[in-house]
Amino acid sequence: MYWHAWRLPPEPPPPGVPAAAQGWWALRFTPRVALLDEALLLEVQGTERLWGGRAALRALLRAQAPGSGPEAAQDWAEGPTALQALALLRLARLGGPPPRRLPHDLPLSTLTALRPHALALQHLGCRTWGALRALPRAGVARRFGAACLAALDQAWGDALEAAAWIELPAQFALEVELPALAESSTALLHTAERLLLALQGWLRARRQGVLALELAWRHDLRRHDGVELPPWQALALRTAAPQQDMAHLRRLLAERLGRQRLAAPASRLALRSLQTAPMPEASHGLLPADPHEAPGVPWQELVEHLSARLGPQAVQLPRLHADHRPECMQRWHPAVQPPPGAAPEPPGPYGGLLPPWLVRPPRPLALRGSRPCLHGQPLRLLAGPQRVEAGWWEAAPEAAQDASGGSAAPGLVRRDYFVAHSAAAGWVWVFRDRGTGGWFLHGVYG
Amino acid sequence: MAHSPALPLSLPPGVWHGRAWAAAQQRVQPTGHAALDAELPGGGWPCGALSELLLPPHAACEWTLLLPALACALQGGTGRAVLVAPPQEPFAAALHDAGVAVQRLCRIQPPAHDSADSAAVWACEQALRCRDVCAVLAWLPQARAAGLRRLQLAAAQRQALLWVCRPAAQAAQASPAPLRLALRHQGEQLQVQVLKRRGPPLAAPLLLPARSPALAAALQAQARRRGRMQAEARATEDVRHVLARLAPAP
Repeated sequence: MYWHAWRLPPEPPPPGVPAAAQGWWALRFTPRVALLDEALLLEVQGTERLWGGRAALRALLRAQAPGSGPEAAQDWAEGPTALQALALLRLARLGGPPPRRLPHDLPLSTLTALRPHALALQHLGCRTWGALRALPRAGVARRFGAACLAALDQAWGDALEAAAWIELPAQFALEVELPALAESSTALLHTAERLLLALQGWLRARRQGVLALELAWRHDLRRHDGVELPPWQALALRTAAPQQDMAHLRRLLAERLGRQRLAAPASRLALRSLQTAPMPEASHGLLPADPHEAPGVPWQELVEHLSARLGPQAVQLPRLHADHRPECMQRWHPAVQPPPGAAPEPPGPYGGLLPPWLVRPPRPLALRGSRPCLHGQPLRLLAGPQRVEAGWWEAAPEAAQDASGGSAAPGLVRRDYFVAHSAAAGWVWVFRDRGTGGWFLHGVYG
Repeated sequence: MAHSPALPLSLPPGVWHGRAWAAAQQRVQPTGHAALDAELPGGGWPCGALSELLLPPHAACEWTLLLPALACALQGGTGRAVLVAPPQEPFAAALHDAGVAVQRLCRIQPPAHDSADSAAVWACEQALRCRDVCAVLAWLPQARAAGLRRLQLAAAQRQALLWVCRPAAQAAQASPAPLRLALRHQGEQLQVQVLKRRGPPLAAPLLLPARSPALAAALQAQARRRGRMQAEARATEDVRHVLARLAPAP
């Protein structure tokens, strides 16, 4: 048995979060994790071969432990038994010199069971574990209780230790009390970040990434301004790729919460994972990483971030369709919810004189005599006509409806396209609807 | 000093003689217009710098200038291009015909009431931080100089292409862009005035074809056809006159 003791963060977990959540991150490295007093104890002998030896595991733990900062050297200790590791950790926190002989020279106050009796033992001239162990056992048991001796035996490794191992819940769902009544959605963010950290530990231990999660808050009031309120209001987040890194989720959550309006002050906050997926294990290359590799966020994270701030309809990807009607040649889809099915192969060139700007819907043009006008100037038709007659097969109305005026087949388009020019409008793409005879502006060449 | 006050031969990076070109320190993307390439430092659009295009109102002539470079930037690889706040709907089919890989375009439309284009500038900045984005084309008519400076810094970090289209009225204002071009229609041609570049000032504005080759060819063909038809009409008119003269008087 070989043990690591890690100091827990000084601030207690928010009410509602189980204390065991502080140890979830370590379950990734060993299944034997327990909480004892102010420390987290990890039994690592069983798994250290898996991680490449004791030194490698130590380095990994130091890199992955949450909140390990510059003073991390005082945040952990290791020893052959759990109580020795804990005692060494306490000694390091006190700043005392490391003991010459382990465990004989450890001070008495580093063992929890001996703390109440430390003063009395000191008066006896007994300052270290070794000195106490040298005393007659029967007398010590009579005077200080058998529990002291049992603890000392456990610390020495002579007696078995019974630890309450931390178990990971099958589903991640945490509900916490907010430190203060949250009036605005941004006030939820601080607590939500702590929940996300707990989620990260849970995900790491399960080797999963989260695909969808739900943040819910409980309204403090039953009714507000005479309106009945539901007890809970929720916000769902989805990502395209499984996420274990909380920076992206925190950004998304901040954007979404910034846009969210609370119906009433909130008193409780809950975080649930709706969907998780196994995290793909990235294999490391043999050669060191390319220093010229472009840093920056991946495309999918950018799209999700932009969509969270600006709305899903504001970030769009085009898809081309093989059609003769210009308004049907392209459709714009929200980038976060691409339409089902693989993207079709781009069709061949459309040909024709398509302008780079499309006016949607087509803008009706005024007529002067028989000539269409734009910006008050008559247009000269310079190229054309190009006849487009299509869409008779379509029953559902399309954007073309306003142009064709709702005939028998609403998608039907019968048009003559011209390239026109005037000094005020520049080069434009216009068409004459052959059904109604009206002129429309449909594109701009610039 | 005994020596003539000549400048040292080796200048620190970023400093160049007024009449010479700045040493090309960055990658460039050829513009696809040989005349314009010859007048830009390094011979193309600078990667990792803000290029500002100043457009007169209703001109919308940016595509003519940018399409070849955009098509080239999206060719091969997996880079994506982002269009931020285009004033109208870009016609993806026309861009496809011009050789642009349309499936790797993305349109970002910030909310309509966007004071000083702050949302659009933010979106540009985010896009420039993305490792898959190789070009950003933004229309920022109201952006302030501070926002543009942020964009310039973001572009410099990622070595991406960044074009910003602004109204011609902004030409008098200072701008952090190392390259500023003012565009204007002049008859059948597009007049490009280089307002600012890392090099000597440009003597005379450049003239580029304003229309795509396909459209120019179609217009020419139509004009030729019309001319022929008019000539034929004139000829038949003449023949009719001659016949009328030949006819015996009643």
